[in-house]
Amino acid sequence: MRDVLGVALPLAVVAVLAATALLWIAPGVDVAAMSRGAIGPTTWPKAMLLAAAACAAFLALERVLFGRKAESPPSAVDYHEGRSAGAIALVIAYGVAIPVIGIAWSTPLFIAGWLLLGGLRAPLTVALVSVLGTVGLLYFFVKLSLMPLDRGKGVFEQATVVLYRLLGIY
Amino acid sequence: MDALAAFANGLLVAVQPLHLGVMVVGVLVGVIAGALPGISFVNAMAIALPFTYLMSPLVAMMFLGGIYVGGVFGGSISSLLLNIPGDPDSLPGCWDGYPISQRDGPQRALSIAITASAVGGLVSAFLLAFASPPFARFALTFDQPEFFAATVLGLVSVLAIARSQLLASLLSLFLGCAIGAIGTDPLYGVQRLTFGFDLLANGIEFTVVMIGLFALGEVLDYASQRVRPDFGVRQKARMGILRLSDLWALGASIGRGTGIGSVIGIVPGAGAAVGALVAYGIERQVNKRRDEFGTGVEDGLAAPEASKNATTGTALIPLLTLGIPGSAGAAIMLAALMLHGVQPGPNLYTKDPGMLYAIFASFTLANIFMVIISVGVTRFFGTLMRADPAIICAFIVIFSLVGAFGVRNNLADVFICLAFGVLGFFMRRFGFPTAPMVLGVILGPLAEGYFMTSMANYSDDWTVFFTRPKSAVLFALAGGFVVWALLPELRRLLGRDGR
Repeated sequence: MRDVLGVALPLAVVAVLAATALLWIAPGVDVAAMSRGAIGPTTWPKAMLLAAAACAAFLALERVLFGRKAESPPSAVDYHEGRSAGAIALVIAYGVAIPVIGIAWSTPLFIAGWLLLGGLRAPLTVALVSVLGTVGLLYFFVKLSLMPLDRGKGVFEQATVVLYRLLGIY
Repeated sequence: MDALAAFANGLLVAVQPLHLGVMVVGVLVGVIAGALPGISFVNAMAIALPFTYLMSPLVAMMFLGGIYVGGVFGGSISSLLLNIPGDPDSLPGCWDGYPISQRDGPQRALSIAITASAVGGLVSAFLLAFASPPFARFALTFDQPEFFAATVLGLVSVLAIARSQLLASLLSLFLGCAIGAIGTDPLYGVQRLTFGFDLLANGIEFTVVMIGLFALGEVLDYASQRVRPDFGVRQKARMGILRLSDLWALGASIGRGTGIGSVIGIVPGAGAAVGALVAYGIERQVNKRRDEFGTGVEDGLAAPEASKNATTGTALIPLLTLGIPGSAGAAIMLAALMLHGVQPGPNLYTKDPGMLYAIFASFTLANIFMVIISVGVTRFFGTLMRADPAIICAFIVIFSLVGAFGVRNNLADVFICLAFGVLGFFMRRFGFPTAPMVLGVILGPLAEGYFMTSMANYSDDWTVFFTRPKSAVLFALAGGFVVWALLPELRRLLGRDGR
């Protein structure tokens, strides 16, 4: 199964890259009218995509011809699949939550979730790091650096403003 | 004499309280980030990059330069105390340094490492100050085809660090170049590779890509590991610089390491890890105690330590004279300059020599402060290691995402950073190199610009790249790199590797 994937995956990459190079660099634009001979606005990205596709094709060919499972061995680190999926999901959820509930509310939730995922179980430590860490970050980014970080939408925006006033940030 | 006077003026600028303070903070951040296993100084530089927006270009370079110099040494602290390299370039420190630490105590190993690193770093900083201006004067004779050839040399030189992963590195590099082409084309105004997404119309900021691949990707990788190393430090560690008699005894190995590192630093794409490994390998060949290497030979620690810090200054020579980064750290410094609208290259030496010499002087000072700061960090290393890695990683994620947002105050960059973070994690996990992709994203648009203007200026005659002598020499060097990188593959295919 892994051997089949080792060939199928690079071939899929070849197909995607070649299709992108030939069809989707600048769809709907009359590139030929802008070009001087062979040189035009799509020349460089097309060359890069086709070169990348060629590399992927060679990777697949190498595995077919020489039976090499991989050009380089994957990392020798022992991964915990659940923790791996959890970490990715948590980071993405944090990114998605920022514009919805605002950075002030999403950050402590993220820190608490991350610490629990990382194996920290002491409730006081988790709560203190989450709350104090967030307050410190808000002071640094919003009060000192004047960064226009997202306050969230609707009720969350109002709650963020109230929090900022309570903390003396506004 | 002019160079000496300019350097002295640079020193006066570098010792101004703000500049000195920023540089010292940079060195401190670098030493701590380098010392923490799993977090490299490149991560720290990538996270710090967006915050340099608030600084002037000079202050930004002093800050990042401090992180760079401190970080390259910092990795040795965990190598010598825990036998866990803080960074890949500190790996040789584990081979002979840790046995010294076990046999003669950590103070001896740390003192050798810091002294050798400081000597290598100082020589490299002086080389940067006094060898780069003549190099820049030569580069001033370059036209667009030569710059294109130099950029291509920078792109293919990434193969030097990935000879065992040639196809994967090339694939990563070309994808990086394609990612760099996303957005509105500066010459024709055509939107390319945007797939109808407005957020891609302004292109993808390489800073965001770097934060995603280097910082977020590494944190995700670390968080996903089933078994994490024991960070317990059981020995009290203190260090100082070596006595003159000890320095004299190790002089030959430190000299060799410094020479090797200084040369390797100039090679675009190589950096501290290659410098340290090559220096260790050569020392193992030439040293009279070569048969004892791996058991705690002091020369086996001194040479790679001197070499890795000797790459730091000379890595900036191709960066400042040609705009080609010599290492991942130098690539981030290139990004910092470009964020401030400063285009590195030979013209910088005539436009703003004051800033350049202040940077050179700051680099020199950073190597001196590295010694003082490392002594302090080592004393508190045990306390530092008691901080749960999960806490450190949580704040790295937050700094990464806020930093990505801060690049253009655009939420779209946060999502792009997340996407590259996840991509970086999977690339790392499946042994796919990320550095070539970053180099492609940075140098790809430069290469395209030089290529297009060369073609426009020379009537679309592509032979111009090979008929102009300097361009031809640079392309020959690039070709040499490719052939050298291909040799192991060719040997394997021809069945001459003994397998």
